[in-house]
Amino acid sequence: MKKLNQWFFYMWLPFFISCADSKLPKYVELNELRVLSLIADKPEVNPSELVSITPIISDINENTALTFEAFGCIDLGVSLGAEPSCHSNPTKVSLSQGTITSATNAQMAQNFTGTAPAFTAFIPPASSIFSQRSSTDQTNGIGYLIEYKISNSRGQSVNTIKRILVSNKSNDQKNLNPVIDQFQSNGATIGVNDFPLNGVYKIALTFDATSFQTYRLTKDDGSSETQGEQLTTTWFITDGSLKYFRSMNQDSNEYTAPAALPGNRKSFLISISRDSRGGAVFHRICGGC
Amino acid sequence: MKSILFCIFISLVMNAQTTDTPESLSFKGRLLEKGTQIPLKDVSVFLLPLKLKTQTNTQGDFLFENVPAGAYQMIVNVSGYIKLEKDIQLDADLKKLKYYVEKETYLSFETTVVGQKQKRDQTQKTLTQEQFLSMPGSGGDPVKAVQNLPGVNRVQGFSSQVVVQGGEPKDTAYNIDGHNIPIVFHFGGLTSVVMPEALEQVDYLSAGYGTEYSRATGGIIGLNTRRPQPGERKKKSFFFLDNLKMGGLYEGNIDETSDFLVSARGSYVGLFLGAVAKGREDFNLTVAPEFYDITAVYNKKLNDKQNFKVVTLASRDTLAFVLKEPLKTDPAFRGRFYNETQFYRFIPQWTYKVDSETQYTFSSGIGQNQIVVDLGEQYLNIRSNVMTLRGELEKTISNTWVSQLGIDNFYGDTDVKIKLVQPRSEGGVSNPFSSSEVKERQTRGHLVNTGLYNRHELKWSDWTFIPGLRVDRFRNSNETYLAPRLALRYNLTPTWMLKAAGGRYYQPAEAQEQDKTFGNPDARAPRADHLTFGFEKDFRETSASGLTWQSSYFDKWLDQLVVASFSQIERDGILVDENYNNKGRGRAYGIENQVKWNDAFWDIWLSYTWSESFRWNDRVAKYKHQYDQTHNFNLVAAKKLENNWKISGRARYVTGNPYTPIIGGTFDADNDVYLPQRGNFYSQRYNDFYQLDLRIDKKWIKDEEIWTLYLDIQNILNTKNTESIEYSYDYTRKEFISGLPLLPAFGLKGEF
Repeated sequence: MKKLNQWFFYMWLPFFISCADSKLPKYVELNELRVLSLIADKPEVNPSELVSITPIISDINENTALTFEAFGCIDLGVSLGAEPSCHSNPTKVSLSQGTITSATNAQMAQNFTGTAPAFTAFIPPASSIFSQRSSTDQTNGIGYLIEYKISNSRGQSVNTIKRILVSNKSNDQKNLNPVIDQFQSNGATIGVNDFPLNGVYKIALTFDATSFQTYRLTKDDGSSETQGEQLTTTWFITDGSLKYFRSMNQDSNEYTAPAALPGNRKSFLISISRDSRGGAVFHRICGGC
Repeated sequence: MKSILFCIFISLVMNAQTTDTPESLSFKGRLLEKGTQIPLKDVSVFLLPLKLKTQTNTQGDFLFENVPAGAYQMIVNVSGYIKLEKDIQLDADLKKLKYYVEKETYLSFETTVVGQKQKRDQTQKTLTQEQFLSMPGSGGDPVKAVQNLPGVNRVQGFSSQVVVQGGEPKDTAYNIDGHNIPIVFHFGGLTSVVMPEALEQVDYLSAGYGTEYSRATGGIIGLNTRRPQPGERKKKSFFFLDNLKMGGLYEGNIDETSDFLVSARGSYVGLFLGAVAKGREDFNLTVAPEFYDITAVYNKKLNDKQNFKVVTLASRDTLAFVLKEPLKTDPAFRGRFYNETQFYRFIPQWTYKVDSETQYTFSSGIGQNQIVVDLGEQYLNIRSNVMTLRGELEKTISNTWVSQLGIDNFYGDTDVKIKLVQPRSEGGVSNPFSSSEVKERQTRGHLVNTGLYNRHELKWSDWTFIPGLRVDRFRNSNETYLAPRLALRYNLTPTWMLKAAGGRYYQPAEAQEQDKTFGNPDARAPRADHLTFGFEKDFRETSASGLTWQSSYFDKWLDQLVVASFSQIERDGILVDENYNNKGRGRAYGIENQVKWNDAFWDIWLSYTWSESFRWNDRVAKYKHQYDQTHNFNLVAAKKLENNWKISGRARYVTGNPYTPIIGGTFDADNDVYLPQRGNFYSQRYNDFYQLDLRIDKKWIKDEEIWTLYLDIQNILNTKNTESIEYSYDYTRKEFISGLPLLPAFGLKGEF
């Protein structure tokens, strides 16, 4: 009970801190080098499958090149506190490395904001990834960790991890990425280059019905329960301001758009929607593209 | 002619006798202390100009017999009270009246006599009700006042937990009348769960404490309820109001042998917070933070040898709100939050003093603990029915040998329903909840901790030896431990005492640390070896005012500490998360000093502790502990002024607490948060802590009531003490967060 009270104290702490005014950079504002997400084409796979991973990045101040490298390893339990890295992991493999320039990648021509070159990971076979793991773990899934390191010419670097869930569930029960149906502004669908300007806009995403999957989770005692996915959307902007920086499911947000696009670069309004099981989808509205 | 003159003389004399001889009356009254109505016994009452004198009895009653009717002056002149001079017109109609004598001050701040009054446990330090109620900076709270004692570490921020001698908050056990209570503060530190006015004293036991207690490697905070004292009117009450809560206490007399006391408090801080939160678009306060507590005491003197007392204590905290947007720092925080923490205890106590050599005491704490946390998809619901048992036989074997044999048992029957994240928390840095695994568990368990102790107190010349042995059994984890302890006292002179104590202490691992889902069933009880030695000197000799000084060295070796593990181990052929192991070690040592001065006007306490505290384990090399506070200086001074004014202040200086720097972050793309990358554990320190508190008390004394008003201003210099760090989302930048600003608190109390 004493420790629970301590736990409870720490649980409130971020809330009270978050209430305070802060001069620290805001999560939603794109400025320095950021990785916004790593999106796998298949967030949940069988052993020995091939997965393609697409980094979503932003570095609007960069004008030369970005360098990256990617590794894969069996997750030793990052969610339980293990170090979030493949470094010194005996199953570590190198997946990719290279340089991204605006010339080699169309998206990066837009102030280095958008999808970076994808890379692939070969998931280890069952004999390796399922070794000594309980049947519950095999059903719920064991993480295969993707580590992605990216650096810019200004000396900044970002380390990112992502888990690919490896399970023995049948393919029709595996997790899929959510699918965006429409990006709406004031109730009307807008195109990827229809950047809203000079006003307050009610923005929202609508998702394909298949985006809200139900799934079964096996408990330690062998029983299982059915759960439904909740989608959380994080919004990112280069200009203007947002009422909320996260929204749930298909809830709308409010975007106060700038009066005009900046003269020296493009403007972006980006959404990343996650299903809390590793599935994600990205959408970008670009001003000036 | 001679006969005529003789007749005239006789006539005059006769006339004089018949007309001037007044009626003979009784003058009786009752002498009471003004305001409190406490009878003043054995007090001399004078009647002038007849120069008659009488004394009051135990009820404060006095009687002058065969006093002629007439005008008199009654004089009462007793030490510590303002001289009472009362004009009395004595006639046949004068009834028995009450006379109120005002004390010179109602703000006494008694200093405990050391070296003369022996305590059973020499590590014990005690704060009486009078002391903790007017301690500056603690708002009258008995447990917060303990933080002014030497050896007590300063905790950060809003928490008020008592951390003893470089330990951790969880290493301190809280008891009420010897029986464990699960929490001692409402909302983790707002105010303690017991009405201060229902307590007689607070005991603080630190390194080297005796065999009567166990299951805490740091120390014990013992809250002792007082016996009801309804006084001469057979009933007494008071109410109070401050900027956080209000409440009242009533005590009364049932018959000649039994009294009762009942008190209740409730908060209204939620009204203000509700108003502040109203209209916020991101936050909806659905249940404002509220707490209440009830304390009741019933005491019956069964006969000259036996006494029966029952204490009832109940406490409840509730809070609920809705976050309309996932929290910026951690998207796992979203939606509905509800928290309810409550417990109650029913503690019957029986004392039987068989004769001058033998005494039995027996008590039990029966009750329930419940904590409910509802976070929507995640929840925590723990309900425990608990029973604690304490019993002791004390036998005076000879003039120099007293022995105690006792039991100290705990039984718990717990229902647990839990589905929660278990974030990595190490080095004082927690991973975001979003990136942590949700675990689920439903179980019902029985917790049985039994303790048996035998203590002896042997006197030889100026030496006192207190050997003791305790056996603790933690049935659930099948652990049995022997804990020998020894204390020594040597009275160098009647006012100089040398003392030493040491022993072994075990503290059962927390339930979740031994749970097969959240913890490790193989986790064992942490162990500590204590050693302390020092002296107490009372420079006052036989005077009521003067200086007292006590100093001691303490040293604690900590072993088998339960520490977090992020490894996987093989159990029954399957890889499982270890979660915890017993590979933690530690040591804390220091020197405590306390100097007290008191005279008719001043009470001054100076506490200074120098200490160091370290921890290490198989993964992390030796590092300074979170509560390693090299210097802890605490000065409390109170000055009594005329007309029952008192001004007091507290000055504190404490070395800044160590903290673990975060040297970077890794973006968790699945959960949209950054995971902190810890630097060397506790390798940096916050700035040193300074704070000055001021308190002003004023009492108005009426014949049958006392009104008290106080203003308690914490951090009157508005010092910006850094208490925590806020990092940018990716941990590349940081800001220091200051603790409490200048914080005034006021209170009004009426006693009737």
